[in-house]
Amino acid sequence: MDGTPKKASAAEAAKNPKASQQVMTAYRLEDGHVIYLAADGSWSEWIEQARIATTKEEADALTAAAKDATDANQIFETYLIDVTTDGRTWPVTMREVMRAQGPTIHPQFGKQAERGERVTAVANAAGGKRTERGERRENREG
Amino acid sequence: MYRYDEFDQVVVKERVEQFRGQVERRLKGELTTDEFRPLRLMNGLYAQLHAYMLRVAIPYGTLSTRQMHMLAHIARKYDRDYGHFTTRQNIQYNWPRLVDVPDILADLASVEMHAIQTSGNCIRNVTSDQYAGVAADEIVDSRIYSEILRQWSTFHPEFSFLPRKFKIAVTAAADDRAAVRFHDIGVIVHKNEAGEIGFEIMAGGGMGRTPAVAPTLNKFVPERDLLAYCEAILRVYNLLGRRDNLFKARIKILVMSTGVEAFTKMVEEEFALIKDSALKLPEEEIARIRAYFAPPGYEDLAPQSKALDAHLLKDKAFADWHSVNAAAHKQPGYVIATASLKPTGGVPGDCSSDQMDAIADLAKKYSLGEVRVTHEQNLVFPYVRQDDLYALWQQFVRLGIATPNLDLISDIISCPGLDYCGLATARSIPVAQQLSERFADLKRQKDIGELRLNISGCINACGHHHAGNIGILGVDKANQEFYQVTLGGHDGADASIGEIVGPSFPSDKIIDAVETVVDVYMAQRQGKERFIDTYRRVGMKPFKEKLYAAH
Repeated sequence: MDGTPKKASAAEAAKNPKASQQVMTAYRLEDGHVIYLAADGSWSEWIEQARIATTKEEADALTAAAKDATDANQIFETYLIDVTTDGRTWPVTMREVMRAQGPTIHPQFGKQAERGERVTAVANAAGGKRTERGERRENREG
Repeated sequence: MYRYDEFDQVVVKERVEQFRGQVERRLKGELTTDEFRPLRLMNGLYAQLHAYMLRVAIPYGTLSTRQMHMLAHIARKYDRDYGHFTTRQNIQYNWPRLVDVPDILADLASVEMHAIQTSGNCIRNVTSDQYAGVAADEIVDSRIYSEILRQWSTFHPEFSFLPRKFKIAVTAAADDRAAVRFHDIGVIVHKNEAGEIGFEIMAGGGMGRTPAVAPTLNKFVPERDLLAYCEAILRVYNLLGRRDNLFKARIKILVMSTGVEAFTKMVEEEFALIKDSALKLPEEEIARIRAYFAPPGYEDLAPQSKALDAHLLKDKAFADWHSVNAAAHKQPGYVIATASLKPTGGVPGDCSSDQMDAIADLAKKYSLGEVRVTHEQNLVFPYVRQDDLYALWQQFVRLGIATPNLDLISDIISCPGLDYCGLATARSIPVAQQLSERFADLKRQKDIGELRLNISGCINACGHHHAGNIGILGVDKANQEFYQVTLGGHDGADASIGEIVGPSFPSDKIIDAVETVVDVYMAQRQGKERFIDTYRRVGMKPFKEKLYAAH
């Protein structure tokens, strides 16, 4: 797998910031922590290091890599999420901001603690995606 | 309290070793994600928003000192130094590592605890009145029947793959503190004129997207037939409950769609077939379980402690706490004390390892070694000598668990919400924190009086918002948190479901909206009416008018 995004796509994305930008996320099997498929093909705890897909082909490549890692029993529950790259790679939806950051009520826990900064982007998260997580995932593990 | 017999202990220990093997195989890649998922869920291990989450069963909320110390140890050694007591009288750990979970379960097994049936489409932990055995207003200790139901439902082979999860609650008191009418099966213990024990059995209650107050199927099922009747209900449900539609799979939907009469008829027919089977409870077996819940070694005390009276006169803060967080005990000279896990600005239900250890020590010293978890996410000391209450309260103060807010507006039930939960659509705990700060003035809270305020972060309603006098439901609107307000929910003997007051409020308006609701109540209140009484008298209109006046 090529670890770097194609230059053409990156340039295209820069010209059109509204184009879809996605990263692959999952959970690490051993401790269940949130991880992202990084540019170098490894799995990172930090969304800032995630490889960004801007085309369907690139997203498919992320999906294929996630399947490989799932099959290799390193990770579970993989899916693509939308991100913005305005200054830093950051999720669009509140739910994903929470995963990238940690619980807002416990700034001493989660990734925010290790980053040494608390990102209060929840209320400011851009976008207009209705997640309806409760609806879609009701039977998952409720 | 109940102690494991040899079979219980063997079963739980074997289960730990089975799971240890399953985790090893998973880590080695011998089990896939899909193969492992049901195995971990059968042991209470969820995959949540940030990490795994382990839900540990606390049957009918009862904990010994030894068990509470172990819960503290687990939080300290394997988690992040705290646990979260839930609305089903359980505890959750939010950060366990998969590789540690077999050791955690082994530690739990060493104190007769486990995480079995805290997940999955089976009969979940049986909940009960937190004052069981000590309440002045109860007929009998409801834990006897909760324990009988627990033993029957544990690993029941016929009910390990129900259409959906199944929750049972039992009470034997006039004041329903277990919200039995919001359960799949609710059991109320009664005594007939002949002095015989029997059960009013309800089915089809619940929260979630389709809230329902459970209708009564049978007003007096004889004591010996408790299991046969419950089994009959489960059989009808298991056969006819919908497995094709997740949102219609709970028993409440079946009861609604068949109608109570038709559903009851099917249950009674099944019951007639099985009531004389092995399910009939022999008197000796009831007596055997009853013996586990025999009254503890009470001292012979005067009904009213002079020492307590003196402290109540001298210390106003103590008197304020006592008037709210102490309850009448059936044994002369004793009192029931509730430690609040709802400090101003705190996370409802959270408890640190150090607090858990200290609470265990206090229970040993002042409550005959026992603590109860409530479905409102507080902790009860059931066997406190009135003479000791002042000393106990001083320790509560030291530990930050002396907020005198039981059943007041800041005694908020809250689900974990989007801060932790993979299902949530909005955060709930920060709303609870802000509300407890807004209403921090205890004098004002007492003036407002009994008011149940419940918050859920999604439609699944783990925060019991439908049963809140004021209910708040977090929703996601275009990636922004909004909060819908319901009024008139109630979980007592006259249970009712809250009604939606109108369009939802953005997160920066919800606290003001709740205050407006409270203000309307205070203006409309007559005499000693509670919020629910006023609401039932005046209806939605004045609240709605005030809330949306500016819109």
